Amino acid sequence: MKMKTKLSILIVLALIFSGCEDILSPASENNRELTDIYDDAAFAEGLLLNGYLRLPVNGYSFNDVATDDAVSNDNTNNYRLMATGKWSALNNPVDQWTGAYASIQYLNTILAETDKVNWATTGDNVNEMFNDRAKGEAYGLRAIFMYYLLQAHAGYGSGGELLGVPIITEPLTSESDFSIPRNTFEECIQQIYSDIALAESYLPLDFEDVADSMLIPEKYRSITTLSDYNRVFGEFNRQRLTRRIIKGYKAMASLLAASPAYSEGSTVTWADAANHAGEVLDLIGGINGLAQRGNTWYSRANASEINGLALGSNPSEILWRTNVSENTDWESDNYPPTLYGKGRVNPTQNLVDAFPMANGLPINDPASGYDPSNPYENRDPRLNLYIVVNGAGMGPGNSTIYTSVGRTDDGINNIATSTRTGYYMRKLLREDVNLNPASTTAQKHYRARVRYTELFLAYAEAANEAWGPDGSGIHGFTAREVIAAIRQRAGISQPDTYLQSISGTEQMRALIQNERRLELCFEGFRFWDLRRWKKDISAPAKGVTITADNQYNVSSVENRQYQNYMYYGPLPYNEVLNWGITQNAGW
Amino acid sequence: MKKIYIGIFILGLILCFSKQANAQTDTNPEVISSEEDSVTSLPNDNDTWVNVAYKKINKRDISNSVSVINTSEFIDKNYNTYAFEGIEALVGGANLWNIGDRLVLVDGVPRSIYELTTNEIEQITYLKGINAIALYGSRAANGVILITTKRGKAGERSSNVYVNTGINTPKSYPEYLGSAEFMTYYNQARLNDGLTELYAEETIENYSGVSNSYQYPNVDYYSQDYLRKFYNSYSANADFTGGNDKARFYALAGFSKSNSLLNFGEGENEGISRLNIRGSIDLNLNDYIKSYVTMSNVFYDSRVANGDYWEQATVIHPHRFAPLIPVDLVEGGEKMQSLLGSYRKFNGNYLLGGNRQYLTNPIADAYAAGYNTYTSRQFQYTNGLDIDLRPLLEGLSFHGQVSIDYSNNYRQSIDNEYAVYIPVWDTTEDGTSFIDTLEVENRDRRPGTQNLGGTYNNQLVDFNLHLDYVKSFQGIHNISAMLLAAGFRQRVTGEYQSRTFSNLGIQFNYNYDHRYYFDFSGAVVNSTKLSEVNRVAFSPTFSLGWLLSEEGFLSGSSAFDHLKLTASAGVVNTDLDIDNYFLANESYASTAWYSWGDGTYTSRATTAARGENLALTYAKRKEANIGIDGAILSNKINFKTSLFLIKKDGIPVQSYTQYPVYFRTYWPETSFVPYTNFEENLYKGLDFQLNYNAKLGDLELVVGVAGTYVTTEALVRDELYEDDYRNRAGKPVDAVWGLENDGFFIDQNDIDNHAEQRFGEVKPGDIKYIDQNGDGIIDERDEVMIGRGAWGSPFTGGIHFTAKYKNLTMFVLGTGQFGGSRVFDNEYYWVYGDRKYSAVVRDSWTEETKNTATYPRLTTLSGDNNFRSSDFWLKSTDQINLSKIQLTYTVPDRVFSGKVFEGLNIYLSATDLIKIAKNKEILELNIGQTPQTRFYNLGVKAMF
Repeated sequence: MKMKTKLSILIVLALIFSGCEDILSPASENNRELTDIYDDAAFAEGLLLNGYLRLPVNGYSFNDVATDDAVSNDNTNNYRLMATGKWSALNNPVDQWTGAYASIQYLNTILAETDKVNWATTGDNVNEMFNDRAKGEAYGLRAIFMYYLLQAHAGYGSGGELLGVPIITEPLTSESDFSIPRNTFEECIQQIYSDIALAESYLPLDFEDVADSMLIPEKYRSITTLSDYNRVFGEFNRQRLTRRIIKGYKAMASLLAASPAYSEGSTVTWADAANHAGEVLDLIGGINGLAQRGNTWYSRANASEINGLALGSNPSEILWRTNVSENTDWESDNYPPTLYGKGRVNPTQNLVDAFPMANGLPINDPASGYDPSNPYENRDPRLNLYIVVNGAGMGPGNSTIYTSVGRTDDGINNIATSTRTGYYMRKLLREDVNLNPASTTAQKHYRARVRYTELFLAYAEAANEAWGPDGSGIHGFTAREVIAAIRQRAGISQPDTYLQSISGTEQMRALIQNERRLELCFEGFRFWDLRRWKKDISAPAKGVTITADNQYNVSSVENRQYQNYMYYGPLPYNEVLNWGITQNAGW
Repeated sequence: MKKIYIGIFILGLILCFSKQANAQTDTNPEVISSEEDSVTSLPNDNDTWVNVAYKKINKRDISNSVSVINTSEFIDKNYNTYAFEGIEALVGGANLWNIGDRLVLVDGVPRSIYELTTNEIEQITYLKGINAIALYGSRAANGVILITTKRGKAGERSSNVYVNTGINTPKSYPEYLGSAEFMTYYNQARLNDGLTELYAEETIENYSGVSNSYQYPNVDYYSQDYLRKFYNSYSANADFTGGNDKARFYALAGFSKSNSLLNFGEGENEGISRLNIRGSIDLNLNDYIKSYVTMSNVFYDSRVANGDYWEQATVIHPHRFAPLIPVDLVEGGEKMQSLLGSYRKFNGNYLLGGNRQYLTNPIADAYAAGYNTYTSRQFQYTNGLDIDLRPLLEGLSFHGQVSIDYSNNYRQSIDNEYAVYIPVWDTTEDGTSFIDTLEVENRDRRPGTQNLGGTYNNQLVDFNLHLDYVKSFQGIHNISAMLLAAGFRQRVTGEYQSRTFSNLGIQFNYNYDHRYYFDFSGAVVNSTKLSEVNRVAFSPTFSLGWLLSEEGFLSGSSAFDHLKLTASAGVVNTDLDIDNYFLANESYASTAWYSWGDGTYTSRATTAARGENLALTYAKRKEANIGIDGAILSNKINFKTSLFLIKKDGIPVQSYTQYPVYFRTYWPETSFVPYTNFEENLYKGLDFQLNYNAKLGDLELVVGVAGTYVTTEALVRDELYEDDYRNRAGKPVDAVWGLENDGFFIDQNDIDNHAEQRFGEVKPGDIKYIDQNGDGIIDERDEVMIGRGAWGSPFTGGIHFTAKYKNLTMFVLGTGQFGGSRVFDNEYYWVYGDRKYSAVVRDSWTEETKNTATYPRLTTLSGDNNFRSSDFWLKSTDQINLSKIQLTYTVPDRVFSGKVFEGLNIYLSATDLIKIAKNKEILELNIGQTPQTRFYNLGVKAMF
């Protein structure tokens, strides 16, 4: 008996003493603090990577479904809900505030700390070069986020002055004063320019290995070696921020500032915008640099180019892009139902009508040869390139897609994943993706963050405003020449009579805006372009119902419930309420 | 501080054990006091003894914030397997005043009630008040339910066997429109949206049942083709108990089994089985030392068909496809016929149907997708030691208990793929349809592998040691004191940190002649979730009691047989609301991956998870309660009630509204916001129970009522609203928020004259909302409190009734809840877009039905204006339930004359029989899951 008791007691004791420390204090989790960045370069760089990870152009938003270009067949799509009346300061799907300022907080943190970080322990002045590179990336990313902040949140307050957003250049702590008023739009633009100037001073044009130490920039040439220079600024860093990319963003920011919606509050001129775009285009040889297959950079037709991408090298159309990744995501979302897709983005009749005829004439031109009972005949080849129309082939087996009423599940409104407009999106999809669950094939894709075509169009738009259709400024090419090159690439043989017939800035503006709409469709431009141009934002989205006997009935599919104040996006409701920041008028 | 604490802790232990060692060596067998004198002797009679924190006390000495039910006394008249069934009607405050997640202790160890069946339970104690829970430390802050399992009793040798068989009948199924009716209403919705009709007359006609139902399907997932009328449950268990002064034992073995409602394919193999074994031994090692061991094992297995039948049944329209296609209908050519031979057939001669959008469906899943099983094994072990130290000091005793639990759960599945066939129809010259060809989608594949998943292990070690001193001086000064050390560690799969609790406890009781009571109970708690600075805290509580019925001025009165007043107050520190570790510290971590160079180079972002607040400490429950407990009319009526006021403050949250919105982002997740002891809640209310017993000749009656009423108020919240009416602070903790509706818009004029509703386009027949802030715009800012949550309705309670006449006993249990409400927002009630149409659409608004419509206009769009939280969708959950009715017949002894059985009971019961509620239909309807059921049971209890 006693033996047993003793044993019991021993067991109890053993358990208690072995468990004591365990239950009284937590196991160490190796939690890290900010000061850990000083001796851990990867941990320090991690702060900077927040900027890259939070870029709004890492994927496609398809906010085009909130414009006259497309509708979504997804009832819960936030852009769809926004366009149909739910847009408010409390509910803003195009908000950049949270993501951009969170990024800026991290970028400001690394800028404040980078001089104290031990970036490298070996090599000649490698630590200093890494430090410079980190600063260049941080300043550049900060400028990019400021650009997206202005696009989404700049606007007129009740005071009648064009306001930007608060300029924050120091990291905030939980003790900071958060009542930071908005700077003027002009101050924000100047902040972008100064951040870009700093970034340009630290970053190389491209991250490429240099072959000869004489090619090392002067400031490093005497203090480092070829291999050390390449270690910091060489090709291993491709796809990260370069001077070239920063210049592209400078052009975008200037185009925004020169545009009708913002020009009254900014000193940036159209000539500035044209020159900033021209500077980038000069790097690829001006108009001759327009990539001949640039309008199908994403597609099966360019499969070998895409599949061959490695180590961050860029095709000629691309200024900046994401990694290639093999998947079926965009196709799963956007293939028609009979190809096992969800048919999400449905191009509108409005957009279809914006495509000219193959001869370059708009469809409403009496001489165009447009046949309303055969509306897809002899159209600009880009129509079939970007949009699936009734009876067109699509997918890996080039299956015929019927969007006419009732014929298949692809028919308009037939099931939840059918089109609502009579059209499906083809652009951005790789049609060699097969979604059949019995034989699924994925393909490589990437997201073009900045295409040269965008910069050509920016140049054409600004040059036309600054110098007219045929003025060439200092870059040696004109708006008309740019448009001609783009139309030629599209398959409208040049010279085309319609382009030739354009005279004056105003006519040219309309054509450039239309070309921009077509070339950049579904890439998230239309929503902001309409606002920048102060054009009609509430045109109803139209679709076409094609009956069994081939009647084409065009009707409105979804109204756009936008008010006039919605040319400028709202600031987050809580920020306005909490810190007394001026809200844009109307919100 | 930590070192000091550990020091005290160890000192306490050494003290305990050194005394214990003395107890062993110094045991003098001659010093034995008589049973009557020994206040430390363990009581056996549950009628008068109540298990409370770490000890048993006489029922008359308990505080009114403790309630108790001797479950074993109920089981013969109210047989059930889940011990908390209808408990709100039997015990006042059974929900522990609804403060938060309660702590369930089984024999003092945190264990799940679901690992126990009712017949294993002797007594359940509800420790509600702050003084009653203090010794359990931080983990007990929301109240404790202490379950005491059955043990052997000296001199009783008996065995009971229960055998039950029952059926579960569904209360109701959702009602969905058939194909043709769906099409008609869908056309109406399209017209409402300004679009054209989608389904032609002729199509609707075809689907209305006049044509071939395989070509024009109309699938009802709730029909008898797929479902049984009821499913079965069987159970049997037997217990054995016996022993003497030296050793006692209790053993139980139980088995239960049930099947499911699905009656086809793998559905026929669905079911649950459970086997459990429990054993306990109590040994008196000598006159001073007692030891006990309890063990319990549970083996739980369930099996279900793959595919979520109940969820899918609410989603798939009736007309999309026929789930089964008869092979006979396939004509086709020779090639088709030869192919047909190779196709896999089910249920005789059928192929699985589908289409490209429905490559899988729940019916095909049940036939061909395989199944999955869930296995759970529980092992629980408790060992304790009670040492009477009276040789050392009269009244001193030591108690120690260690428990080790282990459980292992996992899921295994056989996942098969299958082909579905899409018929292409043709018609013969005489007009009969046949299938010309079959398109095949997907393929049949049975990989034959078993997939193992959901593995979840749980290891638990729990111990407590306490030194007790109980002594009565001159028979009137009754003193008891306790010094306690308790600890707990649980390791759970997937959690890096162990879940732990540890505390020291100290208790001092004094009563003067069982008339005036004083109690101090306190705990020194230690939380591993807090920083070292704030890791240890002290929780003091007090209680006072006055047994009035012992006083001279009442003892002469015949009115009160018993009357006691108690009051208690205190503060309990708790870390239950702190859901992670090191939260006081700033934290940066490498999180989201970023790569460049087409994925060649990869690194991780460094993101902040929280700001620093080294002052982060425990939340505190601060409480005062009073209670009264009494019996009148020769104990015919006894009653008990408590009133409580509880403030819970310092609840830690990251108070986001105190910082800019960008201090917190979603992916990659970031927060610079520190945790602070910010939020506060207030709870007040009362509970009561009242029983009446009477004996009228052969008829014995017991009637009782019990209830709990709780009001809550959020005192401080992390919130930022422009208008005061939106503040959560000042409103109930479980407030339901939404817009207030004002009927439907009757016409465009009505819309034009009303505030602008910013949830999408508005048309006549849409819900009109009240503009609370008068800004001419209806949006989120017009949301107000529209009700209180249904979970823990303000009032819960019930009534029970027992009538015993000779050998027949009837037991009735009614429960009710009042004051709660719920927004019914699932896909059955919110029909928009292309959702499956339920019967609710029949009441929808149209120009013709505008005066009688009770449902907004149908839409094929998102209907965002109508389908949002508002009082339009809010329904009261007030209800009265006839939860249980049982008839028990005790077969008279003379039948067996004690030869075969000592006794035999036969009983018949019905559970959840009737619900009386304004919204009965809604409350009884489950959407997307197995239906609620009524349970009818026939059982036999045999005593040996």
